Formats: sequence, C-alpha cells, structure tokens
Amino acid sequence: MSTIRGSNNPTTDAGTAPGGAGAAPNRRRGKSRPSLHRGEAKYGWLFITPPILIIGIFLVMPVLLAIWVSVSDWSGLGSPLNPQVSFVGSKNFEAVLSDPGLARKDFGTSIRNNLYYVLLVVPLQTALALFLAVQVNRRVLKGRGFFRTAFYFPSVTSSIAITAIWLFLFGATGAVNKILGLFGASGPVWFADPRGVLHIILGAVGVSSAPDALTGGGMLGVSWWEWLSGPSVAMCAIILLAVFTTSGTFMLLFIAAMQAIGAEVDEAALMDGAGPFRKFFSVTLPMLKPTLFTVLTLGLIGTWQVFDQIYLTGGGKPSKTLLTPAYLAYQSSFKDLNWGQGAAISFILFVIIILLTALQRYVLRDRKDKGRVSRALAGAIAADRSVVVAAATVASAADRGSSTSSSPAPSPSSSTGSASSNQAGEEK
Amino acid sequence: MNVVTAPQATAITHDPTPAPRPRKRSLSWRLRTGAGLSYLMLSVLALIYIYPFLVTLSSAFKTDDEATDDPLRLIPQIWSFASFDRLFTEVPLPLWAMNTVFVTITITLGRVFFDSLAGYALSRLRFRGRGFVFASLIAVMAVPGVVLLIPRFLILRQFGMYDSYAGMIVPLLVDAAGIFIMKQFFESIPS
Repeated sequence: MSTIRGSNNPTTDAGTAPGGAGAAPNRRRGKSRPSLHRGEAKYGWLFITPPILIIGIFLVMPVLLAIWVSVSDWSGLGSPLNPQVSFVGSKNFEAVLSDPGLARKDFGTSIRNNLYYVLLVVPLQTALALFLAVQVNRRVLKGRGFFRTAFYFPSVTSSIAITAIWLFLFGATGAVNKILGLFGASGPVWFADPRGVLHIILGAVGVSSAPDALTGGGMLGVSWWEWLSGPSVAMCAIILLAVFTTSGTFMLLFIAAMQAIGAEVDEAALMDGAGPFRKFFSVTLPMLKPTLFTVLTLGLIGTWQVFDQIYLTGGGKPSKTLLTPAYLAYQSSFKDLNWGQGAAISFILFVIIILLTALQRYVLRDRKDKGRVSRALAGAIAADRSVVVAAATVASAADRGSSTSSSPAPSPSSSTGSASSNQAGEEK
Repeated sequence: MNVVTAPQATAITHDPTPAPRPRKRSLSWRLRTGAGLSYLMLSVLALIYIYPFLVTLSSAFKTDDEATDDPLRLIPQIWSFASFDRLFTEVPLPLWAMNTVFVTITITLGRVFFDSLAGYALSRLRFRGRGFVFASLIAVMAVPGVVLLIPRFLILRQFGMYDSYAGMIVPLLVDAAGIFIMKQFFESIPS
C-alpha cells in the first residue's frame, strides 16, 4: 500500500495544499493523482468482495427468497423455486390480516402481547437505566466499580442462560415466591398464569366480565375486551426479565454520555444553587437528550423482536399469552409447515419495526436537519448499533482516569445524516 | 456494605441556638444520611442484580430436593455434584462446549479480518461505487435479526448447508455493523 501517501481526501488536498503545491502546474497535479491512487480501486474491490458475497448470499438473497415464499404456496417440500410452487398473491397476508380464522386470531393475540411488552419494557428499562447511571456516576460514591459491574452483569450473560435462571426463580416454589412468602403474600404460578393484569385489576373493582360494548367489535380476530387484558402474569415475568437484562446495557450508554458532559457543568449548576433534583431535570437530562433518543430507539427495535425468551418458556404458553409475532413466524414455518404465512408475518414485523423507528426518529428529530428522513433513519440505525460499542469504550476509558476526549471511540462520520450529530452529542 | 445509621441518632437532638454552628451540623447530617441511604439503596439493588446468579451457582451444588424446597439458600446443606456428573455422562457437554468454542473463534477471527479489510477499503481507498456499497451496507443493517430467522434457513437448506459447521459459521463470518464500526475507526485516525 505504498501508493497511499498523505491525505487521500480530495477536498483537503486542494484546500490545504502546502506552499509549494500552489506553484505546481495544474496539468501535473491532474496527472499525478491517478497514479498516486492507482491500484486503490483494485484493492478496494478486493477488500470488500468477501463481505459483499457473504452479505449478498446470506442476507440479501434470503430476504428475496422469503419475499417469494410469502406470496407462494410452498409447503416446505423441495426447493421453494421448483416449478410446482405457484404464485398465490396476497393470500398469506390475507390469512394473517383479514380472513377470519385461527391464523388471524393468533396474529392479533401476538401483536397484543408484544404491544404490552413494548409499552412496559421500553419506559421501565429507560427510566431504570437512567436512574442507575445517575446513581453510579456520582464522583463521591465509593465502590463505583463494584456497583457498575453488578448492574451490568445481567447484560453480558446470554439470553438463553438468563431465561433458564428466570424460569427457575419464578417457578411455583421458586425464589421469588419464597421472598413474597416472607412478606405473607402468596405469589402466582408465574409462567402458568394466563390472566391479564388489567383484567385482574378490573376484577378487583367488580368488573369481572366484559361489557357488551367491548365483546362485539375487535381487531385482528381479538375482541376489544381481550385487547384490554393487559400483559398476562406470565408476560410480567418476561417483562421483568427484559428490564433486568437490558437496564445495564443502557446504563452504560447513559454513563458514557454523562462522563462526556464533564464535571464543569455539574459544578456550575452546583454554584448556581441547583439542588440534586433541579440539577438532574434542568441540566443533566437536557444534555442527555441524544442518548435518551438512542436508548428509546434501540429499545423499540429490540422489544419487537423478542424471541429467545418465548422459545424457552414454552412457545407462547400459557393460553398463547406469551405469543409474539417473531415466535409466531417461527411456529407457523417450522411447526405448522405453513412457510408462506411465516414469511408473511416476518415481513409484517419488519414493516412494524421500520415504521415505528422512522416515526420515532421523525418525531424526535433534531430541528436543524429537517427532511431527508430516510437517510437520517438509515444513519440512525447504523449509529445505534455502533454506539453501544462506542459507549462501552468511552466508559471504560473514562474509568481508567483518562479524559473522554482521548478515548478511541469511533468518531462520527459526516456521511450519515443526523446519526452523526447524535453520536457527536454523545461523545462531546 | 455497612450502612451509616449512627448520624440519625445524633440528628434528633435539636440545637436551640440559632448560630451558624448548628446549621453546619445539620447540613453535614443531611449529607451523611443522604449518602447512607443511597448506599443502602444501591446495595439492595446490587443484591437484586447479583442474587439470581448466586442462587443459580449454589443450586448447581444442591440436591434436586433442596434446590426446589430452599431455593434462596446460598450455601447448600448437602453438597452434591450429581448435576455435574449428569452433564458429563448423560449429555455430551464437552462436545457442545467444543462446538461453541470452535464456532466462536472462527467467527471472531473471520469478522476481525473481513470487517477490518472492508472498513479500511470503505474509509481509505477510493474507488468507483464506494458510496453505493456503503449505503447498501447501512440499508442491510436495518433488517432486524428475527426477520432473517426463516429466510436464512431457507437459503441454508437450498445449499444443503444446514446442520453443519459451515451453516453456522459462514453466514456470520462478516458483520455489517462491524464493518461500519471499523470504517468509523479508520476515519478517526489521521491519515
């Protein structure tokens, strides 16, 4: 790679050329550039060909194949591309979305379950992560390292292992019910209890059966009364599990951002006489806004994809109150061998996630870069994935006592729309 | 994890003299009680976060009966290694563990190699179509993993690669997010 010398950025080459360069004739410069960068194209393509091949074959092609399967009547026998498989149009989508039947009811139930999951997990995990970050980030706190490690610990264990632990803790005679027993309460049989929490609460105030207005109508084959059931007791255990495992990760993001704010701002607020609450709501929180958005987006994307936990807790049991769209897609394909419907559900889920992310990014976008929503969204998703790593680097670097500015976190790229401004906000 | 409770006792005695000294004392009392309370709260929270793991660890050494009857106990009454015996006799745990190690190492090496090559090319080498490749990469990252569950199986099946090491390793050998991170990293180094 000896051909690459100096700055390879054309604009800086032209703009900040050293004194001698100005004297060089334009003709020479124009000629020397191709030779200076000769071979770059060859090596560039050489370097990115393996990723293009692998991503193309195992990511783009599967998506294309699944698009075909979702509009075909393929039964899982032979190749989905063989001539006996025929095009059935939107039949699979109609079965899930409009035709009365079990498929639609299951899909409606799974959407309801996941909706309650999202509505509870995203705010709870964000609030808890922020709370933990504020607590752990105080300079006077002794044993900061211990507390941080403790809170981050569940995040690094695999979802499979932690779900197994959860099944054990929330068993009928498990640790959680033992602790509830110490306070004189008898806990439910968590993972076998299909009762909706809102229904339980309504039952406690005397509304034990559905009012007529709510039984008649409905959506996706699920009556309004069932939509209003709330998460089942079993789902609550899964919600606690999600909050438990993700709060540590997001705590790290908040810590990284808070360390980037720096001590000066805190001290200034203190000198101005702000109490801890005032300081948090008037100084810390506004400065954490970009991180808050990132955490909310990540939460929103992640919570619509819940699968491992459902798979391990018995595939939607009890009474399908743990069924989620991701699991339903798997079940339709691999268990019921209804591959078209499974693929169709996957695509609906994809659209839900993309739409919600886009909506959220649009609502919470930076005022200064209006428009170009799609580009900003793409950049945002990319930044979301990388920001976790960046935050971890910043946090660990800051822990070692060095200043955040010297941390080796990736710097924002100007080519990724608003994502770069978000990241910049988190790192500066 | 000692909790500061002593200051509370002294704090109850009110000092009637309105001099600056009591104000100072009450301030330090408030600070110390506040610190004590927050340590107590953090300790309880830390315990909640760690206890599940400790319980699981100790249950591994309990007999089945004790694990169900007394799940909260940290030190087993009777130390039992039956569960570990079962791991090595009834199920092929060493094989499973070796599978994981092999897959993990191969994928990690592959990702470090391919992601850094591609990241370098996208950040430092200029060639036609670079912008397009990078834009496609970001678009690809937007596809949620769960959505790929079925399609990826379909492709592996099409190639006859399922139920093999290749099926587990090759699709994960390159990671779009990893390329993105490497690109950002190369751009942060002054050339």
